Amino acid sequence: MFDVNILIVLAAAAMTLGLYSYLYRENIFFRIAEHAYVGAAAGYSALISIESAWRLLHPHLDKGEYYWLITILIGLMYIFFFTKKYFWLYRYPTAIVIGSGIGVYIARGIKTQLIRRITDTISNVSLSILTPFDGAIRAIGVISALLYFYATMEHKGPMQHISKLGRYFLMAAFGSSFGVTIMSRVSLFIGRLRFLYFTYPAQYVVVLAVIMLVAAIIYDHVRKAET
Amino acid sequence: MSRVIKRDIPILLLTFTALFQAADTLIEEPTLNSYADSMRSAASIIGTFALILSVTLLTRLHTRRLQRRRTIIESTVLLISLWIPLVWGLWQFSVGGVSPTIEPFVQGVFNGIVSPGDSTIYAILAFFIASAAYRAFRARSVEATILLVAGIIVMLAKAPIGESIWSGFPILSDWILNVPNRAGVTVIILSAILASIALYVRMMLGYERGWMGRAAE
Amino acid sequence: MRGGGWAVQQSEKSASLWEKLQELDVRYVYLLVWIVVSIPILKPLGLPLGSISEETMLLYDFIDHLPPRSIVVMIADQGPAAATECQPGMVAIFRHCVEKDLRVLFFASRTEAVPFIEQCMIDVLGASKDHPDYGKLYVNLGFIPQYEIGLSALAANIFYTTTDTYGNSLKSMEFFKDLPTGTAKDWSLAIYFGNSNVDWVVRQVNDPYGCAVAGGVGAVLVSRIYPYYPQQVIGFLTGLRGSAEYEVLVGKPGSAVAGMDAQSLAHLAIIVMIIIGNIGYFVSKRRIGGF
Repeated sequence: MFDVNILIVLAAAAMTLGLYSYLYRENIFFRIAEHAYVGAAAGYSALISIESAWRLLHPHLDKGEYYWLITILIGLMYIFFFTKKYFWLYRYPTAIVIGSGIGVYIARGIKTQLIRRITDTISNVSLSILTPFDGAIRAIGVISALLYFYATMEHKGPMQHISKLGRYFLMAAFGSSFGVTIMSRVSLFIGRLRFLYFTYPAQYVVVLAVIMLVAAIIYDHVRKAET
Repeated sequence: MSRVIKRDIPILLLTFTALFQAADTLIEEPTLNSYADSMRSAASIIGTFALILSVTLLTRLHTRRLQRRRTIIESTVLLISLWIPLVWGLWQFSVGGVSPTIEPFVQGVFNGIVSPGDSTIYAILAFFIASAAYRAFRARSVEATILLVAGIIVMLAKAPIGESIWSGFPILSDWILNVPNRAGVTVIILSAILASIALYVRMMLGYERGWMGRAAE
Repeated sequence: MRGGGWAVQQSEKSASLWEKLQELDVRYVYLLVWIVVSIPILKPLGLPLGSISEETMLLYDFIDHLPPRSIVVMIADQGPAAATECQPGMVAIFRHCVEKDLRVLFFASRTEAVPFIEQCMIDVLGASKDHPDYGKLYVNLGFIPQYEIGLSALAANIFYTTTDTYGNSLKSMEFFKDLPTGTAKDWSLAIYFGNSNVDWVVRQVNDPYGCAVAGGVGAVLVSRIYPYYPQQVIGFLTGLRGSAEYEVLVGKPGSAVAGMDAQSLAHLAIIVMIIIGNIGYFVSKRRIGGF
């Protein structure tokens, strides 16, 4: 009895190794895998979104609130993006969606990301055991880094040193971000390798890929020697 | 009149929607909250149709490539992987009432193509980061040295081997993340919110018209 | 440069070695990374995980002290890419919630996260919608579109979607029977799983309604969480390492723990490459400066 899961695993392994083949050089397998992913991802996203939109809409239709069908008409106005003469109709659904996003974000954003960040910076909470002055160091870091971005005053004299200190704090932040980004990407790679090595029958695709890689290397060397 | 319908009314619509939603977040009044709830549902339903744009754009681009005999194999693969699961899933949902989240063929496409594709495209960055770290990360200045040292300490602390080498790495890393990193990221968050407020106010006043697309007259 | 004596010729040889290393074909670096990560996966080294980090412990303690039937909302924003790091943590945290008799409400804020909720329920409970406690203790709302707009709507009205992802009416479920307000004020904890950012969850759920927020986030997001921690984000899992720690805490080591050896060697390898690159740079710089 044919197990469809085997086909899915083989497809997944072929996709993974096809995309990784880019590390050797760009090739047709990579392009096929890339295009398959883009198409399937777009189709899948559209499908799930349509289902969720229907779930939001049909309770209103069940209650007899047929005026909610206007949302479909407004949504269909996105299609006018492709026309020249009626392009402006595309702006109506865009305005509603962007306006809702702005409204939901702005009042709460001012409280959470502006006021709370300022008050938390100058609060005394310290979780580090290294120094008892973490709160003060943080506050100095925030102020000096903010002054680094202050463009309406020339950075001369004391301002120059303060903005330099701010730059150092920003570099420490970027360094931490770099460290954790590497951790994150390596974790993804580990996940892919675990799938390739331990999921039956992905191992066969790995063996096939190694053979193809060796053949490609030999072919490239021979071609290079000929030229 | 033409300018009013094409430009001014969309801006007014954006402003009204934004202020209405903002008022809902600040005022507890049942009627207002109920209408705002409906508006959010409507915006969610309308926003779904933006995906039609992406599907249409992809289809248009790749059918044109097929007509011009360019990238025949790749474009065919894309169009097949886009439309077959979409049509099948919609058919199963509308006629059979089967949710795409549990429909076997759609989930098979997700597990066989979307999931490994998405994972691999991000996982491949591990190699690019490693090669960039090897070829380009140089301690050329004090700032670069601070960046490198902070990165190396955090990397060592977050892997089990770091603590095996020296038990001080996790403590140092915690301090770096809690103190200088927190200060730097706080500044980035503050800058982002201030920039966002400025941008959104400009959009509501009609000065920022990039969202309107081409020929925003 | 010819001649100049033995010292100059030796210096040329060693300088050119460092320069050669810096000019190395990048594909050798890729191969090295592939081999270094593969070895501990195929032959585990058995390195100890080390101490549990404070942010993981705070999250564990918070969930451990929640009274039974408290509502925990799990926001799945992990695409397949983030799932490697976040999914083991989501499974471990859900397992903990099941042990503590908590009510868990799942929803996905991106379309690609929807199957991971199903998978999480199947991994812990053995079934999803067919489990006897589904609808009483666990509900899956599926995909709620528009990110912040969707969460804002759900936080204001828990019956926003009216049905779960399988089409069952929410008002008929025991899960929603005794809710005081029907808003996020009834939630004890909202946990975000993903890689984008946690700001919007804090904005929509913590500040307006006072619901605690936590994260089972990809490591790439971790440095951005610290400004909110611990006042608003009470704890979080740092990528695969955090998921491994939580797996150990709930007593069910899984794929996250298994990946830690490879993580260690990969980090070491990259650090060594950075150091070699910098040594080469300084040696080249001194050589050029010396002539």
